[in-house]
Amino acid sequence: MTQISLPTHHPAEEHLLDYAAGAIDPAAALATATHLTFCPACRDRVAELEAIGGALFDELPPAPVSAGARAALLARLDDGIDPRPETRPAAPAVGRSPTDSGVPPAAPEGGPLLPRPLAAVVGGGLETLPWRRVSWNVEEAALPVAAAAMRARLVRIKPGAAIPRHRHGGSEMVAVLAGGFVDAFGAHRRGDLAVHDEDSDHKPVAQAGEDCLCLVVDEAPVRLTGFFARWLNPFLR
Amino acid sequence: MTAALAYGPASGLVGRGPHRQYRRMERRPGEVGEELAALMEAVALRHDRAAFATLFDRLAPRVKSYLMRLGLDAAVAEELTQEVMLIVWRRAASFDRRLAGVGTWVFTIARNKRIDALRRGAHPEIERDDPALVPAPEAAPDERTDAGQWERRLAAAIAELPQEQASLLRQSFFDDRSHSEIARSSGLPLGTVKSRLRLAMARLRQAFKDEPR
Repeated sequence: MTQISLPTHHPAEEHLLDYAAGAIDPAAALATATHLTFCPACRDRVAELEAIGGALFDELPPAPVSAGARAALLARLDDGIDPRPETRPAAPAVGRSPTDSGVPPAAPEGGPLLPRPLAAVVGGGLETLPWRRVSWNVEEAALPVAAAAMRARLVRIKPGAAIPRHRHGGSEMVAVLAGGFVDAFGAHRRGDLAVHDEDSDHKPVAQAGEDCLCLVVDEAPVRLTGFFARWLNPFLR
Repeated sequence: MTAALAYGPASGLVGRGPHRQYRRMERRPGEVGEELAALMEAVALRHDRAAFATLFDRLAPRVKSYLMRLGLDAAVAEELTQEVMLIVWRRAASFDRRLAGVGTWVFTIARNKRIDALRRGAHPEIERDDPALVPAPEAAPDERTDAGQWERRLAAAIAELPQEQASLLRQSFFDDRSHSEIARSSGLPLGTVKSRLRLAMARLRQAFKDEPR
């Protein structure tokens, strides 16, 4: 199976900025969070961008909060809230104690297939999704992402299969979850995030060995550009 | 590297007791970031209400200001500000000054609350205890620079940015617009928006280095 390796395809910095600022479509944010789970370098970058947000936040001219709202909140602190750290759910603290319990260690082969933010959207498991066969070697399942204008799908490609050459009507993000594919931009493996803009025209081929599973987020239907593939357009929505 | 994945209630600030934080304070007294961080830790460790009231007075007006910049009216912004501050109280123990300054931490809480309220969606985020998380291969997180210092250096670095770059950054954070939406609404070519943002971020990156240059 997949071994832990660091991603080689990353989103551009302005894309991470959109994510850190919270100015990104929720489906694109999901693809980004998927990549971040696999990519310590981009996590550091997002932490830096959030710090920029924090510094700008500190500069904002204060908007006075009414005394009533302040008093109401301070009174609510009694309201059945228990902030004791011992009882809070596992917090994102830096691990230094080997005695922590309840957290499974990273699986030696790369951990669970889906990062948690994605697993939360997938719900009951991959096989419970409404898979739809796009061609004999490609299946896809739409994912419901609340408030998303972009659409999110899981796409499963048989080993060695090629997706017909296509061009995008808008931007497209592909996060690889298993297997891999190769296109003009190089080899993509688990953890990689490929971002294609409107003009990119590519023909991905899944690697041999195992199914290639990707989270694909895009804005608009793709258009097939190969001469013989045009008739396929109605199928590849 | 599995040590970096061992998270839980027994780790982080909680297990180390308060003394370490106060020793740190003596080293660099009087810094705003340090003071806020110490207040956060007082809330986390002792559920210190007086410390929280001080934090409220310092942070809540900025949270409200942030929410109003993003188009919420004052009454709604005030209501959401209370919710943000309640999360600050409840999750104080997960604040870790090595990972983020107080301003940054509260900014991310307010950002997520705003997305939740305005878009009725969520901001999907990584979870540090996700078993799928791939840890950094080198430098243990403990050896990282104290992220609380970043904000102070950043404030100075932002002040030095060319106006056009600083303005794009503010639009990114406070106008709920992606860089491509900013390009569309401002009439600037997308390439110009991208290159200005990248220039700004390259300059600001200096602030994250251990020794400011």
